[in-house]
Amino acid sequence: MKRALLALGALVLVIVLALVVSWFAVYSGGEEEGGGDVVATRPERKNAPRGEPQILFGDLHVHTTFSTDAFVMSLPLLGGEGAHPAADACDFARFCSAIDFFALTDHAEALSPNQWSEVKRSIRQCNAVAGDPTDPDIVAYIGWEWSQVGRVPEEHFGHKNVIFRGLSDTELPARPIAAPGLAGNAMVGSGIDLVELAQVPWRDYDQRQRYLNLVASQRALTGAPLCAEGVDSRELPPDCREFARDPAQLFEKLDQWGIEALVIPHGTTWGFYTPPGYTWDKQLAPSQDDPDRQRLIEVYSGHGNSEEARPWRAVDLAPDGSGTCPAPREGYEPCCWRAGEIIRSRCEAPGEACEAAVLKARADYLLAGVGGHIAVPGATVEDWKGCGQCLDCETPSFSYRPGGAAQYILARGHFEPGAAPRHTTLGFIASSDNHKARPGTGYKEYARRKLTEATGAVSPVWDKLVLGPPQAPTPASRTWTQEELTSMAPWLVVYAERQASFFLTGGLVAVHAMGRDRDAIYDALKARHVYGTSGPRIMLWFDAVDAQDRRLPMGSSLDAARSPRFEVRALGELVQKPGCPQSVEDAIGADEVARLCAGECYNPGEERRRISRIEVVRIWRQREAGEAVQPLIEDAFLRFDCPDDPSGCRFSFEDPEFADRARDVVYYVRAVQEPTPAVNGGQLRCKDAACTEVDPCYGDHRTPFTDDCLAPIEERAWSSPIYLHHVADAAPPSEVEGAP
Amino acid sequence: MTGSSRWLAAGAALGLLITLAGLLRPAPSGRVDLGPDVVATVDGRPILRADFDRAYTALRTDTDGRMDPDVAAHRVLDRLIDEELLVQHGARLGLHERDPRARADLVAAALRLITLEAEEQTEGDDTATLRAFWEAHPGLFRAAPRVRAARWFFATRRADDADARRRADRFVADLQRGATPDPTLPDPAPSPLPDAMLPAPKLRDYLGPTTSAALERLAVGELSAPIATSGGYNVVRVLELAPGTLPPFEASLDEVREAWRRRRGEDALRDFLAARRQDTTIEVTEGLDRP
Repeated sequence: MKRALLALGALVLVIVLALVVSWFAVYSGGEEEGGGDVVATRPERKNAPRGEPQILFGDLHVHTTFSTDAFVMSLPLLGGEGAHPAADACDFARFCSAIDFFALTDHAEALSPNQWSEVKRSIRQCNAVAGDPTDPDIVAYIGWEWSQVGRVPEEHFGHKNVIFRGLSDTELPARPIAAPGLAGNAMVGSGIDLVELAQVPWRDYDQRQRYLNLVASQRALTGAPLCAEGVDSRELPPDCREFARDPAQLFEKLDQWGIEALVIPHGTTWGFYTPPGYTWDKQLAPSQDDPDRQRLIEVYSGHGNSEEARPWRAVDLAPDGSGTCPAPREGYEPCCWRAGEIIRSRCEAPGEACEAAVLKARADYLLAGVGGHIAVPGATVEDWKGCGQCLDCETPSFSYRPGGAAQYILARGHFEPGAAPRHTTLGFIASSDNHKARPGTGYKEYARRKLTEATGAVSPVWDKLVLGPPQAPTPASRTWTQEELTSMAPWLVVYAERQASFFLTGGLVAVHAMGRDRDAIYDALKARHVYGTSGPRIMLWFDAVDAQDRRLPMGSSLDAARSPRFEVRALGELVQKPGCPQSVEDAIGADEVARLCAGECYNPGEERRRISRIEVVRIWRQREAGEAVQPLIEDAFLRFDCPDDPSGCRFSFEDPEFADRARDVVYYVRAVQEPTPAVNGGQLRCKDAACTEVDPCYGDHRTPFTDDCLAPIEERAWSSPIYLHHVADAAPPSEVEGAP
Repeated sequence: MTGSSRWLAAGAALGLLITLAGLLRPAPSGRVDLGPDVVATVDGRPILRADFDRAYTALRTDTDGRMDPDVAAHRVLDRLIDEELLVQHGARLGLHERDPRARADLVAAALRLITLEAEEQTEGDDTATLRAFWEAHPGLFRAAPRVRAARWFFATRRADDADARRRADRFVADLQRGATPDPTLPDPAPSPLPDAMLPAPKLRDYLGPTTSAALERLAVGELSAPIATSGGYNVVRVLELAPGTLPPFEASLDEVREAWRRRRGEDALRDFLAARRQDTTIEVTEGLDRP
C-alpha cells in the first residue's frame, strides 16, 4: 500500500511537472516581436515643388501586428501570413502601393512601452531612407488609434486616430493614450480561455512560435503598470499605460503635452462594435469636441462607407435608455426583428406561446447589444438574411448605424440656452484601416485574404477551437447578462462571420498640398484641402469661385449672402497594368514582390477610367433643437452625367436657394467612376432587392481562400465639404478659412 | 513472500507472458525493422517518424483522445503513405515539368535557396568593399531627376483623332519656328500639371506613363513631338531639369549594404545557372540561336 501510494504520488508529481513545464513554455517561450528593418534601397527620388499645389495620395490608418487584433489575424490557424512589422508598412508604401505618405496607427490599448519605442524607431527609419526631408520619397507619420467602445450608446464615442506632425521626442507624447473599457480589455486578452490558449501551440506545433509570441506580447502589455489618474501626462512615468475615458479627457491630455496633433474619428457607422441606437450627438458638445484637432473624418475605409444618413435605427430608444425593437420599413429590417422571426420559424405551432417567444427573442437580441446574434442559438449567417444592413447604401459598413453617418454629423447641431447653434466642420478623408502593415491597398482588387481583413479558421477543426462547437437551434432565445457578455472572449460577442463579407481593400486620402514634405502635407490635412477615394487614384478638384475669381478650395468656409460659383473637375484613375514596374523588382527583388506585394503593385497604364457622373450633396445645418435632420440632407441635390470622355469631367453650378433660405449650408461632391470589379463588392450577395436570401463571402474555410468575391461597384471620390455661413449683409463671398 | 513481493512477482510474470506472446505471434506482413527514424517506406522513400509522431499527436488531440490509439496510428500512417504515393505519382507524370503552378513553386523554392544562402553570408561585408561597390554603381543610389514641364493637350474631338494630331503638329511647328501658336489649337488639359519640380512617378500620375517617359528623354527647352495619350495628344516641353544627386557614401551606407547583398545573391544565382549549363546537355532546335 505504501509503495502504491508512493508510486501514485510520483505519477501525480510527474503530471504536475509536465503541466507546469507546458504552462511556462506557453508563457515564456514567446518573444515580443520587433518593428523590423526597412529595405534601404530607394525607389525613384522625388522633389519639392514650387508654388502650385499638387495632389498627393496617402493612407492615415494602418496597423501592424503590434495591434492585438492584427496579431490574432496573422496567426496560422486563421490562415494568417505571420508577422506584419512596421518596416513592412514602409516598404509596402514605397514599392507596392507607391503612395506619397502614410501613418502608423496601432491600437494604443495594445502598445507596450517597448512597442511604442519600436514604432517611433521604425517610422524615423522610414523617413530617413526616404532621402532629403524637404523632398522625400515618402513621408511617414507617427500616431495611434484611441479605440473607445461603449456597451451602450451613452457610453460610446468610437475610435479616433491621433496623428502627429513631428518625429522627435519633443514632438511626441511619451506614451500612447488608450481608451479603457471593452476594446482595451479585448486588446489585453481578457476573457480568453487560458486552457484553450495553452493547447494551441502544441496543436499547431510547426507554427508554435507565432502563438508563443502572442502570449509574450500580451504579457509585456499587462506587465506595464497603469498610469495614475488625474496627473498631468508630462509628470507620469514613461513606462506606465495611460488612458483617457472620453474625447474630453483625450483632448485634455493632448493639451497637456502641447503637441500638434490631428484627431480623426472613423468607423462612425460600423456596427461591428458600435452599439445599436448610437448617434454622434453628444460629441457636438464643446466639452467633447476640439475644433483645432478634430478637423477631419474618415468617411470610408476597408471596413466600409460611413457617408450616407438614413432615417431608420436599429433600436427605438426611450429617454431612460431602454430600447424597443422597431418594425421593419422599406429597405431596412432591424436584426432584433429578424431574431424574432427566426424564433418564430422554430415554433411548433403558432399561437400565444410562439408570440411570446418572438417578443422575448427581440428583447434578448437588444439586451446583448452588438452581440445580439448570440441570443438566438444555432442561427446561421443565412438565417439573418440582410437584416441590419443599409441595403441601398454604397458599400456601407456592417450593421450600419446611421446616427454616425458623416451626412448626419454635418447636419446635426448642438443647442444650449443662450448660445448660438454649434455645428462641426470636418474634411473628408478615406483610408485602408489595414491590419497587415499594407498602406494604400486599394490600387488593385485582388488577394482578398491578404489585402483585406477577411479572416477565419482554416479548417473546421480550428473553427471549433475559435468559436466553440456549433450550437443546435433552440426553440427559445437566450437571455445573456451583462456580466456574461463582458467576461466573454471578444470574438464570441462580435459577429465576425457575418462581418467578413463587408471587408474591402480600402481607400485613400488625397491632399492638395503645396509640397511633398511633411509640413506641406500636414498643413493641407489641417486646412481640409483633402478628399477621400474608395481606393483608386481619382483626381478631384472642388472650388468655390468668388466674385473676384478667387478660388477657395474644398474644405474652405465662407461668409456669404449669395452663392458663389462652384467648379468641379474629376479625372478617373489610370487603368492598372498587371504585375509591378521593373523598377520595383530591381529595388526589392522578386521574392519580396511576391511576399510583400502579393505579386501586384501600383502599375498605371495610359488609359483612364471614365468618370460617369458627379453628384452634389447639399446639407442644411440644423437651426434649432427638434428640427428633423433627415430632410436637411439632400443627396443628391444635383447630378451631372459626364460625357464619355477619358480626359475627365467638369461641371459648375450655383445655388440661388442659399440666398432665398438664408441659412448655413454645406456642399460636397462625389465623383463616381464607371463600374469595375471589387473585392466583396457584393457584400452579402443578396439574391433579391429585399435580401431575403444571401450568399456570404466567408473569411474562413467555407469560402475558398482563392475566391476574391469580386462584384462590380462604382468606385468614387468624396470631396471635403465647402461650408457657407449665411451673412445677410456680407459682400460677395469672402473667405473665412481655407484659402491657401 | 510478502504481500508486496507477490504483487511484483505477478507483474513480472504477466510481463513475461505478454513478451512471449509478442514473440510467438506472427508479425503482420510487410512490417520490418526500418530503424528508429523511419516508420515506413514507399518504393524505398522513407516516411519519417518525426512526421508520423506529429500527425498522430495532432489527431489524438483533435479527437480529444477518444479515438483508439491503434486506429489513430493506422489512419495517420495511411494518410502519410497516400501523400507519398501522390508525390511519386506527380513526379512520374512529370507535373513539375508540365504543371505551371508546380513548376513555378519549384523554381521559387530553388531560387530562394540559392540567393538566400548568398545574401546571408556576411563575409566581405566591410566598408572598403561597400565603398568600392558604391563607386562602381552610382546609378543604383543616385536620385532620379526632377522635371518642371509645360504641357499642351489636344483632345480627340468627335472621335476625330487625325484632327487632334494635325492641330498638335501645327502647334509644335509654330513653336519650333518661333511663332506664336494659335491659342485655340490646344484644349483644356484633363488635369492641370503643377508648376513644380516633379519626379517621374508624380508626372506619371498627371500625364500617364508614355508622356512622363518621353519627358525624361528631353533636354531643357526641348519640345516633344505629339505623344498619343488617353483621349488625345500631349505636347510637352521641359522648362527646368535637375539631375539626380548622388548622396555621400556615408549617408547611404545602409542602402549600399542592402544593394550589395542583393547583388551577391543575384551573382550566386547567375554563377549557379552558368555552372549547371556547363554540366547539362542543352539542345536547341534549328532556326533558333542558343541563348
